[in-house]
Amino acid sequence: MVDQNLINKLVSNVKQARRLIREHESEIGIPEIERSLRIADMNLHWILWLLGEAVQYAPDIPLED
Amino acid sequence: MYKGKLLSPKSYQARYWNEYAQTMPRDKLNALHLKRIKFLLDYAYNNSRFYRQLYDRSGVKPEDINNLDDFKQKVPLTDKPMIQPSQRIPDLPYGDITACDDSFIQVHYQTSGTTGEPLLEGWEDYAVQRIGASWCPAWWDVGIRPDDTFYFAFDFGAFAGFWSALWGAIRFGAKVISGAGVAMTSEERIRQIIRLKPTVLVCTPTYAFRLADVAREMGIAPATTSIKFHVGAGEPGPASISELKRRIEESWGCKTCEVLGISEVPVSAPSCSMGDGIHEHEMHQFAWVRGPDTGKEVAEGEVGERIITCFSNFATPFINYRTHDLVRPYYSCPCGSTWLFYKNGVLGRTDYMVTIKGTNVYQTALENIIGGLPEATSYYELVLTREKSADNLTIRLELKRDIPREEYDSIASKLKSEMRARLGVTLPVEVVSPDTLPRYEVKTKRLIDKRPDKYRPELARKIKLSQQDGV
Repeated sequence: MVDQNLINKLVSNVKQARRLIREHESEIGIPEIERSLRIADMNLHWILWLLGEAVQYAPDIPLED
Repeated sequence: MYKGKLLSPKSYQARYWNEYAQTMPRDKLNALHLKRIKFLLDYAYNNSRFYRQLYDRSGVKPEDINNLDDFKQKVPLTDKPMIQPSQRIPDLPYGDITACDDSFIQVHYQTSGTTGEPLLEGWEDYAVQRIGASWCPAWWDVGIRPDDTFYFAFDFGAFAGFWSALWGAIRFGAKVISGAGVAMTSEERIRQIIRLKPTVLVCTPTYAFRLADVAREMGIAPATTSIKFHVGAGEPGPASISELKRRIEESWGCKTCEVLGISEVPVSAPSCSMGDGIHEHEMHQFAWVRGPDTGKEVAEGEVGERIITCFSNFATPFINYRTHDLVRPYYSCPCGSTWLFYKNGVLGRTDYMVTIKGTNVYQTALENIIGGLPEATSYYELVLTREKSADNLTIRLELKRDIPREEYDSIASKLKSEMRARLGVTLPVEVVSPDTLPRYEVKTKRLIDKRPDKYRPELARKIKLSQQDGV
């Protein structure tokens, strides 16, 4: 059985991680780092999607909530 | 030497690849689908010329969709012949369905074009990752783990299919060996398997048989090799044809699984661990099953066409898209997954459902009967012709090499009787000499349609006409 409390905590932390990534993404100006941040954000978006969160259709669409 | 583990002990114990998603209650799944569909409709309407025009013509706006029934009945169906003509518009290689800037598109694939001009497919990085991962539930459920080694026994080519399995295997955490390359013969692939000891063989079911034959000719029993699993795709596989499953598992001494996909949509539906069907991948798409005659959703257990809406591709969205696959849906499964279940996988195609003397004959039903004949090989063709104002279907079949020719007629009669008993129709059977029929490595062509154009499937005709009309 999946622990719902653990899932809720994970969802909250992943959303926060996405916000932190977005803060740096457009400012860093280092292509290699920015691409890595974008790939990280894509994977975080995917985690939320797989856990049934109604996140936006694609990671590039502005963040919800 | 560094020693680590690809997953934690807790994950290794998991029954499912993603229990949270695969066992999500139906009510919660449907609520999620509705939210995602509304996002998608809004996105497609505002970004894709194809969808804006289609919905404007039909008088539907994204905000009109308030529940899943609205979606199924109000939002127009889409189909390959509606998309393909606009792919010849200059500067819009993937057609006016495209919903994002071309810079997002990172991989290009295309269909074989056997029914006309190839359909071009452009996918963004996210779609690539997701279609790869959509293979993983089938692998995990059958017992494959990240410590396994995959052997890809085919040339990758321009088809998306097995490329996606490669991305999936990497995502899964497995080791990958490529058996691709023009110089790689079947004998060399067997030698590689013996030397490198992969545990998972990835290829079409037909090629798994071919490779087993080659191994035997080299004096190697396939079941004694390192292969523990076979992963199939590209043609009806073990979830659809139980005899095929039995034969592959006997030949290689392995377990089998497969995925169901259609080339243009970046999601694969995984086979069930219980072995007799396919689950929809409900994290990546929404599906419903439509009665071919009524246009309405069929009841549980009735046969209809699988209609899909893909959430995994924002470059070229597919919404209420006709797959032309005939399936029998169930909303529960003994394996415990809540994802929509298609018992016996794909039963046939709407565009290739053959009616012989008033009886609907499904290709997979025929293949199950042929596969159950002990003397049969996996090399056979179903040849469609038009005679005396009716469709006819002839089975051309190679038997095992050690069967004497004088037994061919009696074996053909036995097969005819079996078909009459199980399907209610009598079909001609022609036994041909060994090595007569073509061997395929990727997509085996079993159904050979020799009917005049006007009797051929609607889908093939539409594509041909759209090419003649131009854009």
